[in-house]
Amino acid sequence: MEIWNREQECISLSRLREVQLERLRATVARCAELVPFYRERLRAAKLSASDISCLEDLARFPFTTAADLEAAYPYGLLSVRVEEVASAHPVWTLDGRPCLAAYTRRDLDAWAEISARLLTMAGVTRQSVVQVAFGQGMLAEAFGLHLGVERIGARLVPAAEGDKRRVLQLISDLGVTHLACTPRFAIEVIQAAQAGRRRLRGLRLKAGILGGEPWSERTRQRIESALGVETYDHYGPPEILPGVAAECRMRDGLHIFEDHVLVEVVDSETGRPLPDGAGGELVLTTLTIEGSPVLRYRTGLRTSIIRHPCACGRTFARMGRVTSLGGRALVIRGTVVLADQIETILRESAGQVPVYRIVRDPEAVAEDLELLVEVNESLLSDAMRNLRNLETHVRDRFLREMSLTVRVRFVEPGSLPRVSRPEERIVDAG
Amino acid sequence: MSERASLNQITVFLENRAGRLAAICNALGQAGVNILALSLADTAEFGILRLVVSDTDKGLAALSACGFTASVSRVVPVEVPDRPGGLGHVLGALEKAGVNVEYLYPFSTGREGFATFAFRFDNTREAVRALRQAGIKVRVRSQEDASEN
Repeated sequence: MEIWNREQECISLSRLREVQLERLRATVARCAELVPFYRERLRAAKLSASDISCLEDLARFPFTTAADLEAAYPYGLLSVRVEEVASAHPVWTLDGRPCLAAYTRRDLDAWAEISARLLTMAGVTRQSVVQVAFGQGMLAEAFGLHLGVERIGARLVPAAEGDKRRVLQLISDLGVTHLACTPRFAIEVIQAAQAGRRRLRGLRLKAGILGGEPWSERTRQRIESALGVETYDHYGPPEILPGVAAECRMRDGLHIFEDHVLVEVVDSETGRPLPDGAGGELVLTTLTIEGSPVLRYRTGLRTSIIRHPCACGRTFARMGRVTSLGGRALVIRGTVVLADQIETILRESAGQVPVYRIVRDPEAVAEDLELLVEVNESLLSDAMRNLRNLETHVRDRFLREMSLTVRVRFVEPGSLPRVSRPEERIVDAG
Repeated sequence: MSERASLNQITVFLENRAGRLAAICNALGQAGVNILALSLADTAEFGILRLVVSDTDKGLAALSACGFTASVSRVVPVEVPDRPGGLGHVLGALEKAGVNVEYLYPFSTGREGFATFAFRFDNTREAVRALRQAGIKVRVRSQEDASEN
């Protein structure tokens, strides 16, 4: 398979470090000079770009958190004038509040470049037909992929999550070769095809470009064997830059586009950098973004870094699949689900927050989530319809407010584990 | 009037798992509580069991000691002639009065020539009035606590 930008993607490691160091100094200088938030932060820490003589010096700099991005909403982290923002993407962080990822024309150019790399890794060429079918939680990803498809010169078929049969029809009618969607949606398409007795093999489909939520090897195998395709994972926090890491044909970790972001893995308790191979919180620093550059952003996600060379020829380090740090939230189809939201819905539907547990199970694909609710005396009535009504109400609210489907299961009291923090009620079975 | 005409019913929530119904029956049996009428409304995943028992308080205590969620509501025991058209006659009287039946289930024993059903109405007072007017017996018997009302 081709490499989109051989010069950059197969850069020697010593040259990569030089490029990174130069860009890191420029980014820090830019932040210190043009972004009031960072100016104060760096002044307080008595740090400046001149304190960076090697990449490891970055570890002395303070982190940026989701709370910082939220406080800066909408334009508080810009290093350019608002007029220079070409594209502004609202993103809901893992804390459930909005922040804004703002990109200049030059940033969009960098974004198109990394998207083109990502798509090329999945085998997209000028001859490919790429259908991008994401839902409302994945708008920024879809936008980035559109840029990449255009950059490569392939044919774009924009679609949306939703009607599986329509997506299937387009795959067949338009000879789609690459389907970009969430793993969950890929499985829904497969199920829709099976229910409608449509042939899935023998289409021109070659690969699935999947992302937007954690998924397992089992899910990969299921999709690949049903569709007769290869699947490729990609990742990027939408509040920084979607698609900054993607799988190559070796599919042994996601290459991080290290000429555009600097990656660290830190101990989530102490904040200390961890050596390659150790699992910890993923921390990203942008190297080329000028709209809203971010220093040492704590993603809230867990992964580890693989440094040894990859057989594909790319020299960029790889990261393992990301997993959630500790149940603060679930990410499904790019949509963040928090304990707070669930409790609000329960309180408003049932008049109380009963003992509950919410599970994201990537294998149980009929619904996005399973909500287990213990039936206590005030929920119980002699009429079946009270529980039925509660179920319907909860389902409607999840669908309306988060575009997610939920299966409500009522259980006997004492069946769910007692927890001290609401976050522990959120279980990511993926 | 409707208070005197009604009985205590215990509603129990149970998951659709093997042995749950047996656990409820055993708990009541060990407490010396007899089941007079029973109905199980079920979905794929859970069921709602409705019971009229010989001693509601004792029954409730036994069930909650076993960890079941249970609540008490009222049902009306109605005597229905045990002959063709018997139930239709009763329902016809209710329909004329504009009362809806939410659910009903039979008692296991009754007076010779009659079947007794536990009825739940959307308007109990009106239902009992209509039934009595039509000469249909609303019988409170065989439940000690209810007979004291």
